[in-house]
Amino acid sequence: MTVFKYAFIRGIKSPASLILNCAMPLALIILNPDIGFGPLAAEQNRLPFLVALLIIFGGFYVARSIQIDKMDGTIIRILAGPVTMRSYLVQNFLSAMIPMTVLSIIIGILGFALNGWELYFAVGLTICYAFLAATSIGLSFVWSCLFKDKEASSAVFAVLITMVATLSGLMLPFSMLPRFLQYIGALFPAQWANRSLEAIVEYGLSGQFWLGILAMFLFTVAFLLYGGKRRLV
Amino acid sequence: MRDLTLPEICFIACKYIGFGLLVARWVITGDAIGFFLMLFMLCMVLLRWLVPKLSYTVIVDVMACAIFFPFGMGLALFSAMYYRKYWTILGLGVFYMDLHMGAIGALAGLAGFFLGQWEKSRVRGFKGRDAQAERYYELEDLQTDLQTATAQVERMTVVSERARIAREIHDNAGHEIVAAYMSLQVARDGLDGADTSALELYDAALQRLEKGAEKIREAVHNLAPVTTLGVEAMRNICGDFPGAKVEFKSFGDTNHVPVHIWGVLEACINETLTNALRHAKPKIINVNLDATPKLVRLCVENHVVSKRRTTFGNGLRNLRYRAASVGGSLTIDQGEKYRVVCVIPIRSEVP
Repeated sequence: MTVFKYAFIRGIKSPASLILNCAMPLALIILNPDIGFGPLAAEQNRLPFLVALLIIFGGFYVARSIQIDKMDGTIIRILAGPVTMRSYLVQNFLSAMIPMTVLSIIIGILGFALNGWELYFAVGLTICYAFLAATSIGLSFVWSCLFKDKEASSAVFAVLITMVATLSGLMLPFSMLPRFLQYIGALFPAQWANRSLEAIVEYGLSGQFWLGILAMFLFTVAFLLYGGKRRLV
Repeated sequence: MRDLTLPEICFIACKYIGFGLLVARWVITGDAIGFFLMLFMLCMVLLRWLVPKLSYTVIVDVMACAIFFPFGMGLALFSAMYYRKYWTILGLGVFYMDLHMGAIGALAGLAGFFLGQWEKSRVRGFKGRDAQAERYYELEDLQTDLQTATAQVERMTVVSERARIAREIHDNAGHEIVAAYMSLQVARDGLDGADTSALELYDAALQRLEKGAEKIREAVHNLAPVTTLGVEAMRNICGDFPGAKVEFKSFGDTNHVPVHIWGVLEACINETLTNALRHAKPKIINVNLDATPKLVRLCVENHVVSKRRTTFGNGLRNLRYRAASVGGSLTIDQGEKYRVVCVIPIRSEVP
């Protein structure tokens, strides 16, 4: 688990990752205790959706160690040793997934303890954020395979994430989007996270919530399979 | 990444069309199940792309479509028939009430079947060509081995002939001349009263005879080969073999074994010892050589039997051909011991 150890240390030591994965989500949760529940609550308080957006960014940046390894040629030296590509990817996935899961759990606990969230809401939010983080890490893997240049990768990702945030309903309520844009948005996992969040805010742990989780799970599997097949070197 | 073949390109294109139709259905009906079907099938396609050996997972696609998404059955059957999972055609049973959907599913399955057959025949053609190429390279390998063996036999024949000449000179002419020289030396004492000039001539002849005997000794020494031959060579190979202790035992008179047979036996012992060390790693290897007037039998055995059954690889196959070329045979016994036996008949040179 040497790759895991160093990827984990590098992931949590990065300032961008620290801000995106710890400071900002926790600050948002602590500073905004008034999350409403019930119908139309999703349109009144966008906090869980903003945190979801941060988690997409955070997940993407925490798993960028692969891209950095690819840029500076470290991956060639690693794969020259007795480490298979699959083992390398699994260890990187774990190293990125652990801090993101911990963050999701901390958000749930803080909300439950400080902000007076209902238990189902705290648990549902934790599950939703953890799955969203996994999807985001999977997307980061695919991104690392597609781009050879770190700067180009970041620039295109920034454009994509703006589009995703708009089309998925994380920035503004989903129901305000035209119908055809809703279909396009459904091709991004963020919209399914948004649907899950809306479902949990308005109806609790309903079928709609689990449908969103299932979609995110399938997206994660698809991303990881694609990222696992494409050669990084 | 390898280039895609034409049947594979057609297969992928048809799958894209299938996915496109599913997307269209999802957009038209707004049914979220259509989206999940797409996503699920995409995951399965990626899984089979990542690990091609998992082609049997098309059964999962067909079952999922039969249970949850009947309208995706066409795409699932297309993949299943392409991967030659013919019994999945039973999945069409879900359309027993809907003949139109059943017909579409059957057509998709048929298209997958034809594409699969196309790919299969292409792969079969490649395998046939590979087998031919393998046979060609084996024959080439054998030819090289035989040429090397011929050159080796030539060298051994020369060395053997030199050894025989050296032995003949030493044992016959050499002994006779030395005996004559000693007799003449003894006779010299009885000639003390003879004519002085005759004695001088006698002494000069004696000196020349002594020089002649010395030259014969030198010639015999120079003619004698430095390399060992026959049973001694085999004993040396066993003694010098690294990695395992080799116990060599020889029975019978090996003098009448022809040179070309020693060549085959030496190649056999080299190959079998190397094979034993590579595959079984035994501590002790026993080598027995039995020579009778009619045949010679070499047996190399060890107590460690590899779990994998040994087949005739290139080395053993070539040895088998070489043994057959001198009328012999090479067999492998993988019972309690691993044993390679080479039996070669000794044919009389003069009929």
